[in-house]
Amino acid sequence: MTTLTMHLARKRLAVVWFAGAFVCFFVLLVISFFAENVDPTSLWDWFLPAVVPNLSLIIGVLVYAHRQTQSDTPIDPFLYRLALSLSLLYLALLVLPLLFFPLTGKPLPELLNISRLWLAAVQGLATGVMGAFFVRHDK
Amino acid sequence: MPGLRPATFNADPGSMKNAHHAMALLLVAWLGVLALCPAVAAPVDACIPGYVWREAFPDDHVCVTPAGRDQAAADNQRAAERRTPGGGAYGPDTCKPGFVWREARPQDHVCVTPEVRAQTGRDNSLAHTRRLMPPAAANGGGRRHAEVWSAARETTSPHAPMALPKMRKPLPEAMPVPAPAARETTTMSASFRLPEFPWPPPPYSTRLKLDRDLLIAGQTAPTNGSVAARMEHALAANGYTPLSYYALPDGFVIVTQIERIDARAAPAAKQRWSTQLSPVIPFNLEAYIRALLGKDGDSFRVIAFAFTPTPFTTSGRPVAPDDAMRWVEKGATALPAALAGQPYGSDTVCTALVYEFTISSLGAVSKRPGIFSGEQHLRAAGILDLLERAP
Repeated sequence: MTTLTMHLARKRLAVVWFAGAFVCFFVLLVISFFAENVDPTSLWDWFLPAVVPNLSLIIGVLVYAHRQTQSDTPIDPFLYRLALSLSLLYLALLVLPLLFFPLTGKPLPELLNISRLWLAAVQGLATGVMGAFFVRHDK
Repeated sequence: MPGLRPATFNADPGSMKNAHHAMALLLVAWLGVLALCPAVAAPVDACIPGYVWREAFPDDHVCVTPAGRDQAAADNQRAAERRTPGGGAYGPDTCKPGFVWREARPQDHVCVTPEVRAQTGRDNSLAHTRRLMPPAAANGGGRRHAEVWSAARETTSPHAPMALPKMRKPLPEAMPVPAPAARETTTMSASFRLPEFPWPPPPYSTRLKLDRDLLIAGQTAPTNGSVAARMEHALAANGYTPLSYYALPDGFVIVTQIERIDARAAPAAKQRWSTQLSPVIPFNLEAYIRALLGKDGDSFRVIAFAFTPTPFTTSGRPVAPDDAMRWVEKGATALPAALAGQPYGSDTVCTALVYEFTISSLGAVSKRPGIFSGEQHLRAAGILDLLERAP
């Protein structure tokens, strides 16, 4: 059984975040290019602040940690599962309105506006626990 | 008095003098009769030009168009044949299927079509805007209004003409002045201020200037109220209820509710007044993709009729679709009496500003320029046709 190290945990969390963000990014790209009767500005205004800060943090720490030796430090599995679960939850809450709004009868901008109510809470939790993995440790 | 005899054409100076006396006496007597007789003044609930009492029931003095009065009379004549023989769930006045109680007043159980009932309700709610202002109230109310009102109350019949205030003694200050609801309504109506419409208006999809003759329809002394009422009638007859009023710097605006339109600019047959979207349930891939790409949109419009003598441009700031949809919620229900009573200026122009939108699963966007012309919109909506008919 592979010991869960900081390096491995960071990689897995980074994959989850980038995969989820990419799905949302792709859907919004399709809407921006091919959809009619839409103002794409409001959609991107909703999406970018929801993922860019965390993705920037992930990228920055991964690059920095690449040069360090602390990445092999064993980590608490519970903390990792918590971070993974909250990240998956947050990204699901991002993707769901984009993919399922035609089934609700509500226009997409209205759904996205409503989603800010719960995204703010979950984003705070997910970002907080991600800090355990994506924080620069200086010697 | 010696010799009050009928005047004769006699060269005798004495008889001429008597004739003059007789004439003078007759004149004085005539003036005295005039002084004692109450002057005929307009009843307090007289209608503005172009409107008449509906008389759906005795003492029904709600002001309607002559066509509305004819409709009420015709409905009264046919009331018996529209009732269910032998009564029904609502008693002996139960209407046959397709008919409802008119309810011009709570006890009015004359059976009419639903459209007539809706129009009756509107006429009741607009009644106060169609009344001729009592002269005393128009001059500022207060004590003078109290004198007029008090004089009116002294008559034996509620519909007897009022006496002119100067013919009666003013009330002493200590006597309580009757405070009828009409006086309070006049005061409240006089102080009510219409909300302001964004002016210059936001960029519109299209516009149409309405011919003056369509709005005044032969009225010799049109007022803002009579013109607005005529426009309301044309709109209400085509289903445009509710309407909202806004103020302009030198005029007013009537705004319609947002409505769904079809490919010919006519009101949609289904869900005309609803902006709700239909969810893709049960799931259908084609419908889902159409919704995802916003290709499930329908066209909508809001019409704002601006009455102003001043030419205008646009503000350059587009109105958000949500804001335009809420115009009808934020406006007033009617013109204040003071504004309604003002003469409709010879230079006042009515311009219909049409705001078109597309509402889809991806939200609402304005369409500028619009697909249809202003005339196409108003013709398809039935508004122009009704205005072009005889008043």
